Amino acid sequence: MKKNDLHLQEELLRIYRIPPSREKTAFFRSRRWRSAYEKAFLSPEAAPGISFPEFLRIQAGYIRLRNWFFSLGLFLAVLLFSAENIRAAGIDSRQFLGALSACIPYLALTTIAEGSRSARFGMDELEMHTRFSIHSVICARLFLAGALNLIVLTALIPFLCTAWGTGPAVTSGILLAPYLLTCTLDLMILRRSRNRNSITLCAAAGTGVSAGCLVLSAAGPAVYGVLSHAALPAVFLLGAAAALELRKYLRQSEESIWNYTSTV
Amino acid sequence: MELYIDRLTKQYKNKIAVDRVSLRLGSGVHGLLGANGAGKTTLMRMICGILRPDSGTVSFDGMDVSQEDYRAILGYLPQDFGYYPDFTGMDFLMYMASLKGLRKKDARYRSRELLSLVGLEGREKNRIKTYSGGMKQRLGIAQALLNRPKLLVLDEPTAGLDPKERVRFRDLIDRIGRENVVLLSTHIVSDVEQIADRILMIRDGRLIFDGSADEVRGNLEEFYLEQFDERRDDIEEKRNGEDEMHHV
Repeated sequence: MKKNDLHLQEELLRIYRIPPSREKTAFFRSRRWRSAYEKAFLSPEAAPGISFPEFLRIQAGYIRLRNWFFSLGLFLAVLLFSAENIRAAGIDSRQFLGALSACIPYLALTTIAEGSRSARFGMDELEMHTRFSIHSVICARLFLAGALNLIVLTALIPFLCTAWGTGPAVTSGILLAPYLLTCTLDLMILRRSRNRNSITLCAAAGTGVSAGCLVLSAAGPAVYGVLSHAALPAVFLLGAAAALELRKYLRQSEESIWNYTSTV
Repeated sequence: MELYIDRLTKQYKNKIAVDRVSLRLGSGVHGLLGANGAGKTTLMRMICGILRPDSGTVSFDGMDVSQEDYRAILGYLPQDFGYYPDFTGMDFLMYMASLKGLRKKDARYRSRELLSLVGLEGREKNRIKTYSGGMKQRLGIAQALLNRPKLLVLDEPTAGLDPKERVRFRDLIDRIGRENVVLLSTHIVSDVEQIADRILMIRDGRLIFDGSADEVRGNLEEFYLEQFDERRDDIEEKRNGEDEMHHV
């Protein structure tokens, strides 16, 4: 049937010659076409506007590719370094997890950097007056970038427990505590400094957390033992602190705190 | 169609930036005149829901400034705005259109239409960082018009525009003002004289004049300077003081 259709199409194309268009440009410039187009596509009835899920999908397109790549790159690197022959080469689980936890603050930094782009590049005033206001923009970006990170970290916890033989509480602490601590510090910085250089301060805070992770991983087994007991409570405390800071940051973003001398 | 402002007040520490301003603005072009620091930008930001007033309300046809419906009919050009560094002119408009809730197809059509309207067609694929100040300003005007706003608020819209662009802008605003509420601020008297149907003058956060250019006997510039002449004020205050003394 399909073959016959195709044959018929070819026959028709051979027999029928499409006449050259006449006054096509004039027609598309005419008021008749314009009003018909506007009625069909642009009137409020025809185009009710985008929904929030659609807005989220559009926002995902504006998140920089390097953020997605960094999360996935970290995930793949963990898989690669957990291969049996590499483990057999003599890498200690404490060293490996210490190095991994030192990378986590940068994962948090990419998410926070994405959420704070509006203020850093001076787009916040424009984004505040739109239907999907800056509140929605920040929430969407933090949600999208943060969700990917959460998926990556959640997937890594059982994998690391199996591959390196560490307990779930310690593994969760090693992965989540630096992430949440960096988020908290970065959000605190962003609430106080709303200029382009704020991200440098955030990077410095992230580097500090990263260095702290390396120092702790190099500490003796006794210290490590104490830390492993404190891992889960620390995760809960830091989670609460990060949520509080996020709430404050979002509330602050609803209204710009303007410096009187530069405006009025 | 009416923008209703009721006793709007904003204070920054020890300075009252906007002091109990009440207004009713119908369709037409309304020019907000005032010297630097008079309170124009603060008033406009409160009208756009960007700044929260200390007291007072803003509503448009019954919609409160905090509502999404209000923002859906609002177009705003800030005095100064930034952009993401990798954006082209078209990217910028498409991004703003998505925030204004326009569908992709409509957004593309409207963006092209507006780029042509503001004289940026052919430059839409260039990065904004390569644009001149005037081009950037025209792009800002285009984004304000994306959602066919019923309320258009423009803060110093003519800044950076050359004389030819000013004429084009004036015609555009004139057309939009026939069916919508347009509020534009400036400290350049000639701009507002030619564009606005109604003139609002603001000083120290207070509305000191509300009327047409004709009401000031056709010489708006002189009238404006009179209102903002501090020395004249001082002389008048002295005179008033002397009169009071004589009465005593």
